[in-house]
Amino acid sequence: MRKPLSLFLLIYLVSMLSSCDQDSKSDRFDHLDFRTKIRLRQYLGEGKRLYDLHCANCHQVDGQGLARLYPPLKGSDYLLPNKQKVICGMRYGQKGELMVNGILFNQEMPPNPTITDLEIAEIATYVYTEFADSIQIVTIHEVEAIMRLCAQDTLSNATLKNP
Amino acid sequence: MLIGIILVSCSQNESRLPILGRKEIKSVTFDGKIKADTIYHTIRDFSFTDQDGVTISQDIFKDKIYVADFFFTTCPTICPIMKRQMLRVYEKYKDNPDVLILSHTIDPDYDSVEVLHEFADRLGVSSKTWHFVTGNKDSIYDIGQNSYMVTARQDPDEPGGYLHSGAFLLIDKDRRVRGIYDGTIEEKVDLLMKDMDKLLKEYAGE
Repeated sequence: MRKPLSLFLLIYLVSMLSSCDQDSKSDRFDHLDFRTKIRLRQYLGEGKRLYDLHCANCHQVDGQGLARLYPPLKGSDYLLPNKQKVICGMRYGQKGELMVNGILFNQEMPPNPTITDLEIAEIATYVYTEFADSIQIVTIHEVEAIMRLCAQDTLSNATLKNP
Repeated sequence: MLIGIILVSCSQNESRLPILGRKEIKSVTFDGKIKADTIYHTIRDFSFTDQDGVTISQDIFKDKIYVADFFFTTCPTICPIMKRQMLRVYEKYKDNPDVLILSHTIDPDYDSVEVLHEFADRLGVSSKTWHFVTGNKDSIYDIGQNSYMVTARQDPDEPGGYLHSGAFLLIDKDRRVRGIYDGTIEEKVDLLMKDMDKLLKEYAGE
């Protein structure tokens, strides 16, 4: 346990040095304690990189989506009430109609079976904090728990389809 | 005098777009004399079907400049970015009767007229300006590789199953390729639109 702690301290010091400028600018994280703030920043940084890689082709870098083809994430009324579906979708994809901000979308979202729980946690943190205006760290434990549910979902769907 | 000529020829070079592709020099007989004539690379004849089920051939592009690209509706990689960029081109030129857009699907097995219709409708575009076409797969791949000089083929190793370039091709009224632009990069698409204005001016001045 001692090693990760000292590593954490080192990262903390380094990021304090490099991000003091950011600190003064962004007061929307000010209510968080410093440990959470640092961790959130790490998740957001990695989350942004992964989002641009895996999601931005369709949902676009700014999260605006594309016309009535790909739903927006920025300002989307779907994200907060459907966290489990959103998180399962990152690995298993989504099919069928989907209502977002009063518009019915119907484009398949392809699955990404090789994406890890940590990567999903980082992307979800980024998406919820930056696009849904809900400052939160989606933890890897939360993702693990949700993944067990959607894995069951897919399993039971498969069993139902092929009895 | 000499400087004047250089200046004129430089500014001409700047304002005229290059003609891309392989050129052939052929001798032709003109007024009883044998002369050298340059044959430029042109887009071959074609016949595809658009999102409204209308047959689209080279005739529709007579006296038009157009932008061509290759995509497929279920593409998870570069196509959505290309379509966002092409939408900018569409928005700028949709009311210009001299400009058309031609998007070829490289997955015609899935991208039927109905699928393309739904796609265009959801993108919010009209077939008056922007034709999404499907047709014979070999013919689409052939015109992609040999006329438009871009990569378009099936490849099971690629995400989505197809390998294709994200290029936008600018074609003039004489079916010649006048520019190739990366349709995934905003600045390159800005350049495309500048070049389209140049090309339109070129014809207006003739």
